[in-house]
Amino acid sequence: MTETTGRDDAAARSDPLAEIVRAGGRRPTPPPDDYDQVLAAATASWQKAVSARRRRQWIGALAASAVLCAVGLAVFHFRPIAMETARTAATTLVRGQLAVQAPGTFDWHPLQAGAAIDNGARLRANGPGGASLSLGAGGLLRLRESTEVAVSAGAHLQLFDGSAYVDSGSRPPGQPIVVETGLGTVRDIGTVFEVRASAGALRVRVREGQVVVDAPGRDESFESQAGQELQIGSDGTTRRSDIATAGPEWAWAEALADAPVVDGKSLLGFLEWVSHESGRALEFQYAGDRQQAAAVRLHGSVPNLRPLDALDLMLAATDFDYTLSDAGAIVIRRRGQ
Amino acid sequence: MSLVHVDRAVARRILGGDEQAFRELFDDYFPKLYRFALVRLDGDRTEARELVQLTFCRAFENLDSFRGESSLYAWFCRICRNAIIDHARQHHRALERAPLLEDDATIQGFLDALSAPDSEQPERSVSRLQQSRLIQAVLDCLPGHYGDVLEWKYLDGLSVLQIAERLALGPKAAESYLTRARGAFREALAAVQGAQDLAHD
Repeated sequence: MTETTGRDDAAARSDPLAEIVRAGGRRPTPPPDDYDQVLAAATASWQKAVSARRRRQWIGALAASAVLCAVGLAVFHFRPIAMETARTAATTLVRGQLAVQAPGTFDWHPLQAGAAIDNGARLRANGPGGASLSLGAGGLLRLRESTEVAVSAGAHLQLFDGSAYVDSGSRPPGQPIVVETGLGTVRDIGTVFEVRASAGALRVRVREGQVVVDAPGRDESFESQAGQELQIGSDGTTRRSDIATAGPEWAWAEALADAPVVDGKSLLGFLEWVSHESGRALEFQYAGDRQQAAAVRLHGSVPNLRPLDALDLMLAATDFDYTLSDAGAIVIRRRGQ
Repeated sequence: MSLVHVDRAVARRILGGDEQAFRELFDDYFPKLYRFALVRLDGDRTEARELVQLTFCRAFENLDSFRGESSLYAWFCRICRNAIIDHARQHHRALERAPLLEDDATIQGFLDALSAPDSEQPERSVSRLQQSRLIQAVLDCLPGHYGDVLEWKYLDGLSVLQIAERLALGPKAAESYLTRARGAFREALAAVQGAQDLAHD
């Protein structure tokens, strides 16, 4: 840590940008009383604007209803936009309570977002929300609430209890993420998957790519592909089944997704992020819409939201809209087409 | 290629009654607009507060007319600038020359001025004040917390780890954020230089 700080300081001293920032001096801060007074006035204006807009929408809806009734049609489609409270975007995101037990000790200490995790440390996610971690050489790990795991170098995880979601996307080839449980060891082959360990069973659900599961005391390995679930019981039984790669079962992991960086990126890039994080295929209703989406550059930032909520938010600022197909795919189309 | 500003969606959230979006915007814009007004009102804090208050009220009343052609902050700045001009006219007062981004020194000019002590070149002290205002204005115009992060790093001397703690990010994410902030600041300064070059052509 000292070394890093030393390098930081040396770099800052010789940095022309640093000199310019220093030359600017500290920006003045408004007095707190002014903040309170202006906030009160701004809040009143905002609330007035929101009420006026709702009134207009209500009147508009009434008028529209009357027209539809007149022609004998009454089709209403109401889809609430779930605006989850903004979360911090983090390499390590803690939504519930995350506690750490350093190697060789017995005490548990609370862990904040941004904290470094020592080799061999044991983590326990308590309370609602879970936590998200980045792994040293790439790859993401999300822990559901009531999960306990030990994290060792080389992305070797020991899952004692609960559920872990692994995304090895940015990891170099040949360095698989390994999740070890009492009933089997799961190795990724460029993939996204969930492992749930309990006293009675190991469950592996693969969302993308492929994993290999080695069960202790057995010579054979089990492969599991995207859209498959493999269960190994404590009595040695195995069971396979097909699963959906999108839907409420994955909601806990989606809620821990880092906010994407969109500034300067294409709309298509954002759509591909939504597709990856939601486990849904991305389709375009008309030929050419993909190219159009690639040509739209986004500015600004989006808060931490579930992927489909972020999609709702982002598309509201564009000429594009989307629907979910019967198969669960995200189908993008231009508005009015 | 079309350009869409995400702030249009933010405006819709605010108009939809999202209190968190409203408070985030207020907390982000209030200090920036306050400084924006303060330098244009010769440092009069009372007038700055009143005109920023007027800006917020006008902006929220007309937020549904924001089309996303610019950033929302630039749109607020236009409203604030107009409020200041109206105020000056009402009081038959000449405006303090606003330190617009496009009418001040270049990056090299900043560095040149830094290397010259005030005692050697007294005229530089005025230039330094203008430069200081310009740099602060550029920091205020950067997206997100970029301006804050650069201040924490270079004025407060915080390490990347301390910045990570303040932003509730991991060290790598904070380092990446700082890199993006530096890039945005460099680009903004280059744009200032480009605008000045155009003005001088």
